[in-house]
Amino acid sequence: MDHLLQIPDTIKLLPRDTVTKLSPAEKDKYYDKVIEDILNANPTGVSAPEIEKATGFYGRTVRDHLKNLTSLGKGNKITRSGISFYFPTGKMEDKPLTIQSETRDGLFYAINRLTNQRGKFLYVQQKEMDEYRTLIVKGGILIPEEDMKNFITQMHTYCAKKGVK
Amino acid sequence: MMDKLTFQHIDNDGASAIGTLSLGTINLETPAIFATLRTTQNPNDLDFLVNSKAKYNLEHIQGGIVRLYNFPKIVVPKVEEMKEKTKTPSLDGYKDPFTKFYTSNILMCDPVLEYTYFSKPKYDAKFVDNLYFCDRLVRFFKEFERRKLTIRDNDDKSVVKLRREMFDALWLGSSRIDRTERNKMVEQLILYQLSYLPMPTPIGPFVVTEEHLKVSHELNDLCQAIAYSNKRESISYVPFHASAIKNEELMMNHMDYIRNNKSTKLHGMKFKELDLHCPVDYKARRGFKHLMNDINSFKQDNKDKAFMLLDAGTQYYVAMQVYDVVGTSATGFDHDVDGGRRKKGEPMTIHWWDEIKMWPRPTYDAPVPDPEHCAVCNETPNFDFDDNILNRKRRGHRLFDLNNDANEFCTHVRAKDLGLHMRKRVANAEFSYANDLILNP
Repeated sequence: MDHLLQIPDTIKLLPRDTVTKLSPAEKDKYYDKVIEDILNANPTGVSAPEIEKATGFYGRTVRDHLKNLTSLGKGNKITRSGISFYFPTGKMEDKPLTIQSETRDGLFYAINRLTNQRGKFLYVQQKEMDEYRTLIVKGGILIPEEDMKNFITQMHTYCAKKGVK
Repeated sequence: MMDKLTFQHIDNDGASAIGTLSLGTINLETPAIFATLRTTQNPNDLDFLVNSKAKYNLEHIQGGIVRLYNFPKIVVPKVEEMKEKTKTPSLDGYKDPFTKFYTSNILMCDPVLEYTYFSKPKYDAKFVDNLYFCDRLVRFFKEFERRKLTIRDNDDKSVVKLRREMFDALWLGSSRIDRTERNKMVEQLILYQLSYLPMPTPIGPFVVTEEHLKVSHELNDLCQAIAYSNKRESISYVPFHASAIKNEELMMNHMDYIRNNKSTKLHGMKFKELDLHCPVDYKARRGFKHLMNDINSFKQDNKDKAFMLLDAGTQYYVAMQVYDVVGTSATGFDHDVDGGRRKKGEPMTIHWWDEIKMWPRPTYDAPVPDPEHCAVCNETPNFDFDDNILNRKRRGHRLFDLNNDANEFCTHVRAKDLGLHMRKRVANAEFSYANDLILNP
């Protein structure tokens, strides 16, 4: 059975020639947001060609942005028979715990508890406030809940060894 | 986190509906009235609105509209100060009146780029001084001043012609460099708004012809995409020339744009200086009614979409039937009047809003305030006050009257007798034409 890609109405989809009118920085943000929103709207997974077909974006653009989202922990990639499928990181269980950096202005850490097909995870994001007061994810790691205790113990030990206060 | 813009239909009586318009944690009960904040001193309209909201219960006055060229003077310093304060939140949760206003009402920007079409030297200078960072716009006004000097005897017709030509070149120029610069200008102005407001107003040309509308839609899409990629919501917004209301095809095309725009939840428009009261223009009245019917039928099928009318003029009352947000002045004048139209140096003639006639009247000719009308009237037994005090009082009184209208509107939608109520309300109004524009039987 054909699986239709979900494109929510909230996505502001522009024709390709209109996208080219945006400045490079805004264009980049635009691609990121559209692809991230499509990824989140399709928990059963999407492939780059599917997004390419639905949006009219160039395949290379789609692949680059999907790769970027994966590296930020916003998505997972699974490759089957040579085709890569991308899945959203998971469903957040409740409000994240936000920790404001005590030493750096505009730097935040958000800890989210989330669930996906592979289990329960803690998703730690590094966020920075941009000039428009929007928090942008700059990095993130996904730690399975069952590994968490060990992770923290190891980190404590490491910090103690290295003299990190 | 994106502040989501949603509209939820609550109840309706025939064509008129009430609902809740939400932007993130801000919830507005519609019809919502947004006060146009025009003057920057005596009083500063923004300060006035913020303080009035803190002092009185004006539940339907839920926003303010600031002109783009006034933005750097009256909004930016306040938002900057607020940002500084929120870095160190006070322990008792105290919020100063502006922060309270900003976090529970919607502050918006009116780009007023119709003044690239009309020439008003005072506003031209404000654009140049306050929006100095926007090269293309500054160059436009400066170039106009330079070329105006070359016109012999400053002939009015030639000046208008020059302005129209330059306006078309600014917005419709089709060369590659023109398009690139225009898009850059639009992007600059949207990003500027994004720095200070939760929801930007799209930048585009003043619409007189089909060609302008086409560019306006294109730039609307661009602005909405910029807002979207910066995790913000954007409305659609088109400022029309008053004559556009009579152009069926133009209005039809705009409604088509709205129908096809899936992502935008709030559609704004403005008819610059449209006054259906005077001069009498039946075609314009028919056009406005036609548009209201179109909006109504669209809203029947799309209950999550809301509409906004800025500078509503005398139409503010009937507009509430289909427009969920109505922007109008706190003085009763949607023209460019502060303290009554006057020449520099002339004394101010204070106009008091006559709530029965629904019209601003000079205080020497207005009935004394009815103490039962509102808290401001209650404290104003007569008009023997200093002009500056009266200037504040008349704004407060008008805000109360607008609030009462919106409140009664909701009550009668729920009671399903809105048509009857509206007819009673406008029976003694100065603008009897409103009777013909009431959609409900």
